[in-house]
Amino acid sequence: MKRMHALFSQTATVRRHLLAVVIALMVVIPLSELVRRVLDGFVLWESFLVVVPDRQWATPLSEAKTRNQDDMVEKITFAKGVSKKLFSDIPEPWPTLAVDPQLMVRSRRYPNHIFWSNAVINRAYLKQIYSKKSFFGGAYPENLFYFSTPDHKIIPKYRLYPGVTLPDGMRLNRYGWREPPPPLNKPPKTVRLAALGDSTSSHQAGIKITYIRLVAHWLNRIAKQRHWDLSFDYINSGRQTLRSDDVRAIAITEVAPFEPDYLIFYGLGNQIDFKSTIRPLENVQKKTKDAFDTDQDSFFTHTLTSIFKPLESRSALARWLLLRWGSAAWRGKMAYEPKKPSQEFVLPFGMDENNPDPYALGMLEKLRRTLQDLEKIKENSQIFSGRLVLSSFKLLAHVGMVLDLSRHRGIYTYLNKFYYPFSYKNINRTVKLHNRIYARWAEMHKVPFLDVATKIPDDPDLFIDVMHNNQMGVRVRAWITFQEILPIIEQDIAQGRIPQPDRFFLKEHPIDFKPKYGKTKEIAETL
Amino acid sequence: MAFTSFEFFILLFITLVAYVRAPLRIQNIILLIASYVFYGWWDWRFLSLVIFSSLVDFACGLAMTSERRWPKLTRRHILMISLIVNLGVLGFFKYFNFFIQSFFDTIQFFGLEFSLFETRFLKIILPVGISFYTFQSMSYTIDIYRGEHKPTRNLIDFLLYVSFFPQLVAGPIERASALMPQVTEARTMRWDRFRSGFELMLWGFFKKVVIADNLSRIVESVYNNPQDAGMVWIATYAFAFQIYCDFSGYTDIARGVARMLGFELRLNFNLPYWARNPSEFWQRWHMSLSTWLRDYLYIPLGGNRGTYWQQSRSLAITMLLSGLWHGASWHFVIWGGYHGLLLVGFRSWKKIKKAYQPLKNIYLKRFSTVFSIFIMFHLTCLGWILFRVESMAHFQQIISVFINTPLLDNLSFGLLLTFSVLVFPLVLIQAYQELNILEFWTRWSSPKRLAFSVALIFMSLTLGPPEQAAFIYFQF
Repeated sequence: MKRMHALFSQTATVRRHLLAVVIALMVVIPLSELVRRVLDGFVLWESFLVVVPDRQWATPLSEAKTRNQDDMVEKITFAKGVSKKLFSDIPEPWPTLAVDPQLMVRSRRYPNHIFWSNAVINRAYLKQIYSKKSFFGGAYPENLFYFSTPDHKIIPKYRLYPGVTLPDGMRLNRYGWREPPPPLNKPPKTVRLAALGDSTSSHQAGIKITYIRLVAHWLNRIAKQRHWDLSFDYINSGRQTLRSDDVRAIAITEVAPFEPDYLIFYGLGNQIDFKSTIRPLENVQKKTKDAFDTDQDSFFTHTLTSIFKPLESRSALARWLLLRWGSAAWRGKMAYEPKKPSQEFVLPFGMDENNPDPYALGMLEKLRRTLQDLEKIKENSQIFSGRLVLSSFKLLAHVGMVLDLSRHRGIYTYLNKFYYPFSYKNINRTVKLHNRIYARWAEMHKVPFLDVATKIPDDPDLFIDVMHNNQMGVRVRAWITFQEILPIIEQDIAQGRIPQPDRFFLKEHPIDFKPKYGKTKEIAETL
Repeated sequence: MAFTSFEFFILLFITLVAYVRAPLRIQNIILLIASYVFYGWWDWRFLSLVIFSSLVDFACGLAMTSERRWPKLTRRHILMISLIVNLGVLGFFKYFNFFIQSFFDTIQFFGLEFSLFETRFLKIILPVGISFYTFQSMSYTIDIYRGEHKPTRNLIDFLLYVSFFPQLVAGPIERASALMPQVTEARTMRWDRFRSGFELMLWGFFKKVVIADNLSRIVESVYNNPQDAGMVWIATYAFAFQIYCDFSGYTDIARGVARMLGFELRLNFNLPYWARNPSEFWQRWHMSLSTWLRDYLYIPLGGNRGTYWQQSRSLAITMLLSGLWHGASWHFVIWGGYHGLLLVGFRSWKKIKKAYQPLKNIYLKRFSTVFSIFIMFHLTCLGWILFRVESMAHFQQIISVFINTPLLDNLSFGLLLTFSVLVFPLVLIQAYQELNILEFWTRWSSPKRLAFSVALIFMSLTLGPPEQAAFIYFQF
């Protein structure tokens, strides 16, 4: 009896303690969810994770510190008369506003296509691809935002919705671009920079200050120091997944009315055609499994991911756990390049790798089109005496690169999954070839060339993936671009080329950026 | 190895498993090995420094009471050897760069250049915790010299006293009379002490990971780019709580871990922001350092003896050196001087106050207490600006923003909300602690304590920032 009593009271004690644990978890989980939303800048009461406006206090510039930052800045400061202290002088980010309610509704309705369901699609482009399942996986939203070009051209493929903050927190100006819009007509004594390119110019939503803004900011500081009687403003017309023809169309139709003095072209890493320069020497059936195959998560990671992934868009805690576990699961795992199938680097016939001819590109068809589009942009810019400026492109891949999978998994996946079976060496060689072709083309066409790529440190901590930077990486790239363009600007000032007044006064932009809205089937089937 | 790292938990677990049933001598060896692994994890080279410092003081301690020392070597000489070695090591590693840089700055002020020497000299790395363990080691020899403590003959015990891992790198700075007996005497592992130690450790983690590290993001973003007075004020308040939670959190972890091992380390923080005056503040903030400075610097300089000016002078020197102890930079020295001024000013104020009748009305008394706490908190916050800035130029920038920009125009709601969510519950808890006891959970029932522990673990795991900040006081 005594034993039973003792056992019973022990069981009761255990039960009380278990109950306390359950109650604690029932209280602390929702409380932590609310606190996590506050800390990460999400609206408290939405069932969906919606970015809160006014997040600029948590400036990511301060988060993305690299190791030995002072040493790094020392090494990448090379322009005459530029102090490395200027690197720390950064402008305030453009504050975000509340997410547009209509876009929020669409995001909830199409959670797998948040970006495209809120984009403004070119009607002619939609008509062309409507039957293909590659867009929206074939499951088009019932209604779409769209625009038409006067000549029904399919470029640019899309625009971003103007004057809103997207659900991912990206604020767009009235032209659907990032950063505050400059006045359409240049104010007197203003030098205008325009960034042309893809997502490597517009950056991810989490990047609060884009590179072109930093370049203009530092140029304004220099202008003040040297008592130049002018100021700099900027446009960022970059957009995700663009090709060179899209960039050309944007430059000519959207950007040109602003009469930028410098059109800085950077990007289009997705148009580097590795298949044309790298040839496997053995049959590549499928990707060989390696020790750090990021598809092969451990059972625990796989289980955790399958539980929390569906909640990721709704729970700040789930999102946090996935992020932290993803980092913890790969903690301390340093990944070298896995073994790749034998391959060789192939140059177009007759090409000198160190001095390539931009007009003898052989199989490099995408690059040829890019150069043709650049010629057209240059030609168009002469109407308003703008100068095309070409920048070399940075893609992070080099022989012997070791990645910390807890921090650089995105880079590793890109290099070894998306770019499989190409080796780091050959990827690096291909990008260098592209950049040499750009440089040669720029020389032939008397276009200033900014050799940014060789000066950006090969530090994976500056990158989210092989070509997109985190905020510190954006700052580094901007710093190098600023120093590269400074001598060009100094020369142009000395020659009296800038500042130059607006040639064409415009009451309003020739394009009406306001999106139309209609039924997808109707838009696609009629024109 | 930081307390908030995965490696530390592995080390702690292994140490506890090996430690729990071992006899005293073996326990001390286990702790010593764990301590050296803990410290060597940062940089194994600096282990030699800890060991060297310990060996010197061990030898000096024995020599002072030995009859078989060189006739001309007095106890005073031996004490001098200990002080010179400890202060020499501290001075070289911590202050060499500072003095050389100050020298170069002065030379450059007069228009001369010495860049070649600059490159050669300014690359000394600061060993983690050097300010703490050298002070702890010095206090041993000083106490022996004063006859307040007897030297130990057991080298392992002494090495453990200096390098006991919970308090090795950021205190609390222990005295030989408090810690040595715990090292040399048998320790009993009791469940209630283990449990309360574990809970204290969790409370420390919560303060550090959830409050301090999240507040550091606010502070860093605003201080890196100060734009408005209002934001800078919020960031300054945030820093006040960040540094408190960071440092007191570390101490709680240290004391909690020590208690789990059967040691009781001294209290280092006693709700300092409830202080009503500067004197009380230093009786509540970093108590182990303030008592060390009082006993080994202030009192030998004269202490409360002598004229008002002599006392003030001693106080000022002590606080200036306290500032210098915190960091090899002029803004730390000025911070120390600022607190010295507050203390001197408070003494004068006490004298003036004596001339007036004390308050009799209870409500006025309470109002006066609340008002004093409010004023003292803000005076402390002003000092924290000096502590947080990276240079005097940065300090000037912050002050310029205070003076020239609006206070309320551009306050960020997001920042205010985040600050409030992190700080106000802490303030309420501290009010409760002030009126009750610090470790208030020890009065709760067992299930309630378990629920509290589970909540703290959950929140520490889920509410930290993306990147954990290092403990602030590691830089000292």
